[in-house]
Amino acid sequence: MSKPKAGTGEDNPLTDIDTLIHEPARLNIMAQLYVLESADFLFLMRQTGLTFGNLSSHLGKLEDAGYLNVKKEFVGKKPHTMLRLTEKGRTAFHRYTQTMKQVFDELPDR
Amino acid sequence: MPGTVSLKEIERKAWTSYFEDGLWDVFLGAMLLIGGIRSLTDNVWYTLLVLSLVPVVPLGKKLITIPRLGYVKFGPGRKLKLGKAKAALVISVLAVFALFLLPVLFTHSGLPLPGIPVSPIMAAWIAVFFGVLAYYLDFKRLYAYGLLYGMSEVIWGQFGKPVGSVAQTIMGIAILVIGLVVFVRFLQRFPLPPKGVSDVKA
Repeated sequence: MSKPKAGTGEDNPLTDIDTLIHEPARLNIMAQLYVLESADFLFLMRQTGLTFGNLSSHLGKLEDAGYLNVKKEFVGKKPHTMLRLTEKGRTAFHRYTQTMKQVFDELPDR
Repeated sequence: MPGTVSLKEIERKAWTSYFEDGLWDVFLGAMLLIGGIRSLTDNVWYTLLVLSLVPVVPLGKKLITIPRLGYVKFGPGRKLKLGKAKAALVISVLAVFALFLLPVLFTHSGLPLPGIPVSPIMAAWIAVFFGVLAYYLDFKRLYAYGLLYGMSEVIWGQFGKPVGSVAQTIMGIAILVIGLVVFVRFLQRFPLPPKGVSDVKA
């Protein structure tokens, strides 16, 4: 394996952060969905404290990136749109947490 | 500085939010209260009233909690814990059944009935059972309710009627009031959303 070149940013985990997940509202959504199997729009709204429009817009971005799967289900006779992370989304979130851990683990002592 | 955030804590918060509707508290309080009144008045109609409370929690969850809080499916870890809580429920029902069946069996077989201290055993069982449920369901108030239910059983065993009935009624009222306060807070915190929000597509 070749050594990262100085000044290229290759050895810097900060450059490896997934900015799509890094945004606080989307990080909150991803964290919620990572620990759950699936949830509907209302549940996510309640748990994240985001407004209807805000949540809708962030979910759209996550869905476009392939991190989120939207599935129509029926609970009794009522239709429910359930949201869950795709495998790609789970992997991306896991990778994000590892990167962040690495960033803070490597903090020098003050 | 806000408290520490961990994925475990996020999952626990999502899970416990379903217990912040106060329905279980109202149900358990009403059961104890009506049980106390029934034994005070010797009116069998109260037994029917107790039975009529059984659908309160599932119906309340369906008609009040889910429309306000949303619908969620939890991960395998939580499902396993729920399975353990259900197993504890089945085992405890069988244990109580055995405790009450034992004297009948002894009477039918003609053997002398051993002096089983039913009341302390029941009280200990109730406290342990509520404790196990509280642990697996992450529902902390159940620890306190287990103690109150157990205490009412001890008082009943020690003093009989009417002291036991009054104690049961008072403890029932205490749990019911807690439940109603939690319920009202839940309704204020989570008003009904506009129609169709659960059906929104991203």
